[in-house]
Amino acid sequence: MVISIAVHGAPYASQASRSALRFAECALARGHAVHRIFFYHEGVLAAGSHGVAPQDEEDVHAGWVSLQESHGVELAACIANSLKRGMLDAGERDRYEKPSATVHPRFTLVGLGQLVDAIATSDRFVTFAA
Amino acid sequence: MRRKRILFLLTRAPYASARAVETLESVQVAGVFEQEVSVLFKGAGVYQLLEGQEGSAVGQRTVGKILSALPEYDVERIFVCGPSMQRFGIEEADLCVAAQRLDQAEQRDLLAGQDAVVTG
Repeated sequence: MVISIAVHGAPYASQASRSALRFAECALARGHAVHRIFFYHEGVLAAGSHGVAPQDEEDVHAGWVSLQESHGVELAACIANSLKRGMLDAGERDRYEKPSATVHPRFTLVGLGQLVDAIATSDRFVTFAA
Repeated sequence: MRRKRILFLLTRAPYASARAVETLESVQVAGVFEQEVSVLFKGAGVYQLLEGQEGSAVGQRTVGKILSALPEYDVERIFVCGPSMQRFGIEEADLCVAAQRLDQAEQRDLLAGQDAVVTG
């Protein structure tokens, strides 16, 4: 089965990102395909590479990066939701002349068409709300 | 792109957070991409439908105006939870767009007929 996942909650403020990460790992372990993780609303903050996880808590951002590196799962963050929350990749940093890029290169900033595409092309679309 | 039946379930009050506006942006895009879109307002989400909103007073876009423009994105199926309206004391005359009022059983049928449900 082809599965896509939406993450709406911010890491550390909400359990959404951790739950979604566990769900994705389990789906892959069961032999399903995970087409795209779409980060929306405060969920886009998971793309930030500047956060420092507390020592006694799981590093959610690192978990997503690791999932991408080991399984090639697409990590897509809504570009409009990202920009206003300070999530910029190198291209957007240059475009808006900001001091630094904040998004990890394993994440891509995409338009909402990619959300609709994820729904249309997957057998299941699972939302982890905040 | 494959055409699917997608229901957007709007459950948040407008203006307290960005949820309403951001979710409605994805509703618009789903319409543009020719999906079979339905929208159901439920719980505090029914406040998004109130007439006479002025978002600029609190530095935000006006949700009611976004709703009025949904037909331009080919989003025509607008539903509202009847029991939620009753709970918040909202009458049909208070709404800024025509929304079909559904009871619980009708909402179950609406959800059962979808390929995907997106909460916002």
